[in-house]
Amino acid sequence: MRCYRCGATLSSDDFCTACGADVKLYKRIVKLSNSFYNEGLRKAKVRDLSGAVESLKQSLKCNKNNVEARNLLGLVYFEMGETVQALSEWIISKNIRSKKNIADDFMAELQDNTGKLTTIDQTIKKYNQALSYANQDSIDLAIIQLKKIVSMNPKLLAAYQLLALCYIKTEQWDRARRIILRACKLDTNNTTLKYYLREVERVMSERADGGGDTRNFHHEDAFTYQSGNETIIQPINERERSGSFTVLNIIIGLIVGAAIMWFLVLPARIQSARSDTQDQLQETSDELTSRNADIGELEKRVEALQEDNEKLKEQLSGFTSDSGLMNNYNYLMQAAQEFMEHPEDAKRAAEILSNIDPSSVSEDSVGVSKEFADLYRYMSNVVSQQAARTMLDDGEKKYNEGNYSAAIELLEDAVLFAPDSDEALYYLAQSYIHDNNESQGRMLLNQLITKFPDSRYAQRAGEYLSSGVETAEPTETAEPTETAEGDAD
Amino acid sequence: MIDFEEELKKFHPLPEVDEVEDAIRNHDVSDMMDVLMALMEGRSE
Repeated sequence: MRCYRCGATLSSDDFCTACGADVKLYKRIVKLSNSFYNEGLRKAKVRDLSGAVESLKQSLKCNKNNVEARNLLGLVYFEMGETVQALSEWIISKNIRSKKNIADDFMAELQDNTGKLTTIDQTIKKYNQALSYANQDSIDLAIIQLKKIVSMNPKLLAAYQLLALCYIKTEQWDRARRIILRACKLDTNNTTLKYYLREVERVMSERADGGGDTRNFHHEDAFTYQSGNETIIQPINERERSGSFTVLNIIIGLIVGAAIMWFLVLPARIQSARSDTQDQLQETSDELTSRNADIGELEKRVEALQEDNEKLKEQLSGFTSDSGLMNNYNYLMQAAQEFMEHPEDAKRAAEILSNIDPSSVSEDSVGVSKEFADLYRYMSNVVSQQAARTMLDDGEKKYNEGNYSAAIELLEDAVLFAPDSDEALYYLAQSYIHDNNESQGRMLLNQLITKFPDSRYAQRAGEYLSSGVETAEPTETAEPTETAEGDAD
Repeated sequence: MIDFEEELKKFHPLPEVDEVEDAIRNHDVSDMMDVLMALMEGRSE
């Protein structure tokens, strides 16, 4: 114990040895506070909560700094469901002694369990609402609310008391008694509860003795007896009915049973069966819809695959038809083979190459590789040039021999393979003229002049057309192999 | 006989959890020590 003035530890003397203050009265007050605390603790141990509250309050009135008394008071409040009061006491206690205080544990436990704290808060709000209902004379609403509260928070003593009072108000004596007894298990010596219980039992006893109303058994219908503290109210058996009454009751029972079957059970069964059928129908319909959707999707896929198949067939025919790529490949191979075996006879290779359509072997064409196109261009140029040269030589030879029809045949081919050869065109025209087809010959000469205006053969053609006499070929340009520029490129 | 109205007057709304600060603020913490101290101070003066 410390001096209230200087804080020094006090001895057994009635004065402070440090500052000399009179501490006799102070010591007695502290002892009185501790005595109340002990009394409160004893009451709390036997669940006399309201008594413990009174004692602990007295203890704190003597010494507000009695931390143990304050903590216990908070605990008792908490046990009575008055959580806010409990928290107040613990917080004040914590303020007085900040370290080594069990109030810390109490508050931590409560704060950790937020769900419980929320429930407590809800029940407090509901209790206040129920109290408001009771004040507005809405007892039934208050009872409903209070019943919920005691189920949610079975410690809230105030709710039990108010519920008991509401039951008493509505003369539900038995229920009032039961709820009071439940509350008495929480707080064994609560004055209010004891008062209510005494009154309820008095009224119940009076009513059982003969003054009761319709809520309790009439004296003629029941008799009561005491079993310990319990008052047992037992109805008196009615006299036995006659046999005809029994038969009548059975018949009425059968009729009522049949009516229940007809009006309640059968419609429910029929409704249930209909509902099942409807569900099955709906399920089947859903399945059918799903299947139809699947079929539609598959049909679309089949159509797409057929289209792909047609395209592939077209592509395949493009490769394998007479004018297809495969044949072009074959012709090119044959021409190359022919040219390699008989390089002096390019005419045969040229004839084979002529089977290939030039427009179908460009690099832009589908399926034509660059290598194929290059080889075709090379073969076409070399073979055509060489074949044209050979045929031109042969044609000139025949022309000089005077075999003009043979010369025409050879020179026609020469012009075909080398359309830019002015020499071949000139000798072809002269061959026609000498073969008595002057009109065709003159037409070709005019074509020569138009097509190759700077050529020496064009000059000779012009002289022939003006004089009608063929001029001799100049000796320095007598080589018959000359062709126009770009011919063999 | 229990008088419902009179008994009902004894019931008061419980403070809710968020009103704990008000409950502490309104808490009467004076005790006999305070009275004693006041008496002592009065006597010394």
